[in-house]
Amino acid sequence: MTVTDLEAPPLTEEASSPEPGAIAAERAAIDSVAGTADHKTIGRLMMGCSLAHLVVFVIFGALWNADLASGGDLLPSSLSDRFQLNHQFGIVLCGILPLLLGLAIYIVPLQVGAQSIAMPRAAALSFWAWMLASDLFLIAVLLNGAFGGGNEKMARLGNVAVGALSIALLVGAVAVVTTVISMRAPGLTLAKVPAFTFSMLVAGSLWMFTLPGVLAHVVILQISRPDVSTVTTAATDRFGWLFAQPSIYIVAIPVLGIAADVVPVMTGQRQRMTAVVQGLIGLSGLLAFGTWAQLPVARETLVWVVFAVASAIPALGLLGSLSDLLRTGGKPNLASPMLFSLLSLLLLVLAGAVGLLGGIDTAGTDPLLGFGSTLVLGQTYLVIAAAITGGLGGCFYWGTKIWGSALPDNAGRVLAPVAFLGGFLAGGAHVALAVAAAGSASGSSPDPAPYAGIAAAGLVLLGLALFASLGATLDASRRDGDGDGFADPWGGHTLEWFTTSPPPPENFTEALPPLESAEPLLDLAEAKGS
Amino acid sequence: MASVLIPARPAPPTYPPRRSLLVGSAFATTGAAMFVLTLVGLYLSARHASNGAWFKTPDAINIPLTQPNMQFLTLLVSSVMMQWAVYAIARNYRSHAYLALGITVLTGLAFVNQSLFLFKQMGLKMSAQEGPYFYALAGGHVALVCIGIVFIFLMTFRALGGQFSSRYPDGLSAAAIYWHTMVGLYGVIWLAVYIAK
Repeated sequence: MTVTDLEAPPLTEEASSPEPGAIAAERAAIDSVAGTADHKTIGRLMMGCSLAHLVVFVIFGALWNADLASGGDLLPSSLSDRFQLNHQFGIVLCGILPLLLGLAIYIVPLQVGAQSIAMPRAAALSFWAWMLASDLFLIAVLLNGAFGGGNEKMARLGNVAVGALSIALLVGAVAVVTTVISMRAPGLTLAKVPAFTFSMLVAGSLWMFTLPGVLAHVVILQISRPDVSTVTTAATDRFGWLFAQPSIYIVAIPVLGIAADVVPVMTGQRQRMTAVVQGLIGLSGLLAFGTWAQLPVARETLVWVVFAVASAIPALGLLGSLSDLLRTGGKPNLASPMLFSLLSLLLLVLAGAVGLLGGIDTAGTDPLLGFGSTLVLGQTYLVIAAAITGGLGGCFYWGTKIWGSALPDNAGRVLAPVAFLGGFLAGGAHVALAVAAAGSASGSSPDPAPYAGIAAAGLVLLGLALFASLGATLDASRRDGDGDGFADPWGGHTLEWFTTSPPPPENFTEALPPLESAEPLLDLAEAKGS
Repeated sequence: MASVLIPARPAPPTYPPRRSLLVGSAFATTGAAMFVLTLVGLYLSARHASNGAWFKTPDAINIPLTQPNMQFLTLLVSSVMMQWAVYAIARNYRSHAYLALGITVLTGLAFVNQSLFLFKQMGLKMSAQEGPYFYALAGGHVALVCIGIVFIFLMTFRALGGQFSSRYPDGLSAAAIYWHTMVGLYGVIWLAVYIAK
């Protein structure tokens, strides 16, 4: 038989005559995702993908801790090293920051009464660049690269991916912050913007001061053509400052805004201390400014001690102002967003207390107690858990608005304590290890295995909460359109609840209500009542 | 003749101008400035840690001063030209604005050319201790200047298309914010790297 004897198989009916309508619909569906500049689609995509990345990197952290608990028997040492050095990068740059940024890309334009986000194509660029860089980083970690890897090219790829992540997140932050400054509805002054929007203004500005510092290290490292050992040491020597206070608090600023938006709604009261809340959010931004503390020597100064000691003040102050609402109102609605918000603030207060310990240890010419880097890791886990818990609170609060169907509140009420417990165990175990090591006699450091085991269990709980939340968001997006259009399950006070859930392409179809306070919908309800 | 009363048309609703381009550029410029300033800090820190060993290798690599001085002068001229463009568009002197933008782009390109000439003249190898720090800082700034040139180029085309005028000069103002910042940052580099070496 020759080649010319080959006959093409007969075309089936479907293959020979595809329905043009079906193809057009499929193309339109792809275009609506890949080619969109709609902030709602971009925000949804970013949140969903970042939740998936968060699950992966939290599990990496759990596996490293479990390996530590097993005395190194669980994983090959190279894999364990990679998980140890990279999981924090992944959690912060591939998970928490994009989760909060995605939430902001969706919600902030609605909260300021805008028809779109400022620079929508930049926001789309931010998402796709972040997505590409995130996956490159994950690939580098899995293929024996990134920090702690043994493959030189993959190690450098991991470094480049960190730089690309920084740029992508910066572009998204610029779009969000510009929206707050230049797209507010007439009459909505900065003093009247909702707390989450204000917190994103502060956080986005801080990201603009912090992420270029990461990029600078990436550039220097990359052009020096580093070998694997140089890349490995860079994880702590060049980038360690990003995961230590004060810089680590950049992930937690939006959490304050989410809590300050959620609690007044759940207590059915007006936020009476808007200026105080904004002041506390601003203070948290000031205390999270850590670009100056990149070198280890900077973290042994009096200024650093002041930053460390004061780090709990914003969360503590906000808890105080919110407890006033809880105390004076009727029975609060203990729905899942409320639980997530309050527990995330509690985690932030705990992280601040650990920061206080670090500050006390650093004050003076020599370390007073000698907690070491384990204390820093414990604090980092607490702040990360606070940001995750707060971010999930935002997802549950604005779930109807974002996905068109509410996320299951009963599940949220279970997941909130699970996330809190996970963060508390993960952070608390390492803090306890640091305290035990400082308290033990010299030369007899405690066995880290049980502490690492507890931390691993905590991270598994955190991962479970994230995984379940991801499932809930996927289910809600599948049920898109089940809501009654104007669904507002909480009786919200701010502008995003003035439109349908999810909003139409132009966000608002009706003229906005008078913007005389930070709670225009509450004003409207009171005016109707009187 | 009876006078006819023409009812006044209601005034159109006034909305605050959307300054997204201007504000967004200002924030992006802040990020770029932080990038360069971090590199300056890392450069100074590493140079301090070398205990004066930088640029004193047996090869005796020296940084000539003529080129950096001329580069700074070129950028200062470009900054004046950029501001002239903003001034001109704000008064609808369009031909002046086009001329100023053209000169700004030309001086920017001249700066890039001078920088590349300096790097070649110095002959500093990347393998040298100071190599990565120097090239990250000086090269990083040149890259940002190139981005600025592209930015001005785009704004020039939009101005040629009639998009900017005295009523809406934001595009040129945004480019000017970025450009002036780049010039200021070069001043910092000039002082920290080339003068106080």
